[in-house]
Amino acid sequence: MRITDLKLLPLLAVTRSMILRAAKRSARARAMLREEEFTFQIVTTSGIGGHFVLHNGQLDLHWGRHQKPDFAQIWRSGGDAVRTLTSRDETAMLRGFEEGLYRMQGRFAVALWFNEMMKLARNPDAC
Amino acid sequence: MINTPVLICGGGPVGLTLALTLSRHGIRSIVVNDRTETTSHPKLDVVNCRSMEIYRQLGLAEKIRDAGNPRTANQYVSFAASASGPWYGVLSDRHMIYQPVAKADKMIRGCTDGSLPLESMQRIAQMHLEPILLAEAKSDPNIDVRFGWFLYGFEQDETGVTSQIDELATGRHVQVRSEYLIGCDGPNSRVRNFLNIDYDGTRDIIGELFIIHLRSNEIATLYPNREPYWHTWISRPGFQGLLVSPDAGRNDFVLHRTFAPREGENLNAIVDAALGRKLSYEILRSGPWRPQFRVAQSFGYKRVYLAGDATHQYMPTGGLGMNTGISEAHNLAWKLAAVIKGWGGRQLIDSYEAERLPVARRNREHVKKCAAAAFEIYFPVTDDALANTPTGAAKRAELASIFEQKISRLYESFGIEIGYVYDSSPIVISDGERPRQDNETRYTPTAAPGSRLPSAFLADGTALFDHLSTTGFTLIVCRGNDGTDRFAKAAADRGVPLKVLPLAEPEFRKLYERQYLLVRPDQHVCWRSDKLPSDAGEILDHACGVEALVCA
Repeated sequence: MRITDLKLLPLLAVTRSMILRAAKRSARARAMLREEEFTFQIVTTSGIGGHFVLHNGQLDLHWGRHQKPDFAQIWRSGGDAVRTLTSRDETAMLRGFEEGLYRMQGRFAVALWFNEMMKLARNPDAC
Repeated sequence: MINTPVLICGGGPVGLTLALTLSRHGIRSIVVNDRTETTSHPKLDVVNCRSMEIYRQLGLAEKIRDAGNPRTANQYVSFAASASGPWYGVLSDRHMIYQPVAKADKMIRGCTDGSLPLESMQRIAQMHLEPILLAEAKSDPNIDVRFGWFLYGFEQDETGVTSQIDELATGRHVQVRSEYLIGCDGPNSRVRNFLNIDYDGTRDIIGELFIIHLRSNEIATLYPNREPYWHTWISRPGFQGLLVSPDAGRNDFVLHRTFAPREGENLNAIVDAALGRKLSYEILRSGPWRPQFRVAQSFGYKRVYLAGDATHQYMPTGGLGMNTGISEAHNLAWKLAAVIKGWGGRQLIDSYEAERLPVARRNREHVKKCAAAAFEIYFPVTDDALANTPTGAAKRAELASIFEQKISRLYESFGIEIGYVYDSSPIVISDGERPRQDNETRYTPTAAPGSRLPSAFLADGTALFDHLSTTGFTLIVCRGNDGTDRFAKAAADRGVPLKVLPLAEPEFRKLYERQYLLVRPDQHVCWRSDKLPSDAGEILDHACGVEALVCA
């Protein structure tokens, strides 16, 4: 484990807070919390990270690996993850995948859900 | 001031199809388009089965096939490390959709259970489709085509719409008075904006993708018989893309990438990486674009309606952008014609949104699943897949299986293409049966009210669809002809065009499950029963949107 991998943890915590705040401000975000049920894992290859569980309209964050997430991003390093996930360049995610900064597994529909939710979290008027 | 029954803003495939369909009903229209010529970009690459059925009804199917992928050429979809290989898998024989049109036609003719469409899809670029439609519209005396004209604005009142159109080259203004204005003016529709109708959904959830249009005589050499596959999905560590050949008979190709190149990145290097070897080609244009998954909150207001990309914006995964619009135009045209001619009631036009908005949303969900599948096929590709070893071969076989399982959804979607049912329509008379519409790929034939009539052939080999009235209703009678006179008289009394079509073949009774079916000009069933009603006029009034019928 690299110390920089730990940078991922506060990002995940902030992400959950942003989503919950978005749900207070945006009807679409509130509806989205009821539309899906999934476990979305974001971890480094060294195992640092966590997983979001959306169930019954409630979004929880748990640290560590989930046995069988619906969708997972496995990052080469926490630094890469933080840099890419917070990038203002919207092509950074797909470029990062092609460059091998991370791998994906599972249902990409969960990623689309997350992309939409983060758009709303950053800008409640995005829809 | 020019008077016309219908003013159409937008001369793309949907606007032109609407004008052509209206003309078949004897309705004149003016089509204004701010472009001066048809697109020179390939854009869409498929006219799907349902759209081809519609073009057959308009008498255009063969002209479109002549302009597209040769009838004997494949429509295969493949998955590979590059267009030079190694190949992971090819979708070829598992479904009719991948077959050359000539072979698919034989399969269709051999189908007796209504499970196949009457027409196979046509692989064709939009830049080759539009000239066919435009030439047809220009030669049609009912259509006044004005390319290079712009809809400046409009006002509607109780009896019609007054619009101002401007000629771009001269600045000349002309006022047009029409009974209806239809906005087929694309995703940035001015008509929709004037109506203050927004899309639902969130913008840009995938971000920016990138497209390169290239021309090459050498790329075909990478494929068996020099016949490029329709789609080649490319994935290996360090590169992902989709190479599209909209027409195996031409040398145009489109390369899709999941992100735009950074400044200084070389487009040729990207194309070379996709092709897997150095070939000769010319890059014609390239640019970023933003896929969307959005549907208009409403399809119109009073006398102004929307169709095509003005009602929906989809990512092209699944090929439902223009094709959904063609079905919208087909749905709207006969209703406009009926109302303009006087035999359609006000509810007829209102039913356009009631019928098509749910379909637009359903298609959006399908497209979203297709988009997810298109990304998921890239996940399991590793360096192992490139190795010329037994391990490499096993990995490629695994990728082929994943590809087949995931990506087939994009192409084998008969449930989406012909399985939609207008079961909540105010002008459909339910018989209590509500067919399931939850299977996107499998189409289960049903003649339940609201559904598209399953296609079948008569004993003489002619297609039943070719016997249906194109401008009015058809009363199909499965064996016997008793009592249809009353139905015909009720139609005549109302000025409703009606054709009575007796079918002697016993299999139709089994396929359609009832003895009598009333089929609309858009080939959808609006009523069926084993006995004729005591008051046929009541059925017709309901189907024509004249008055509501309280159904059991």
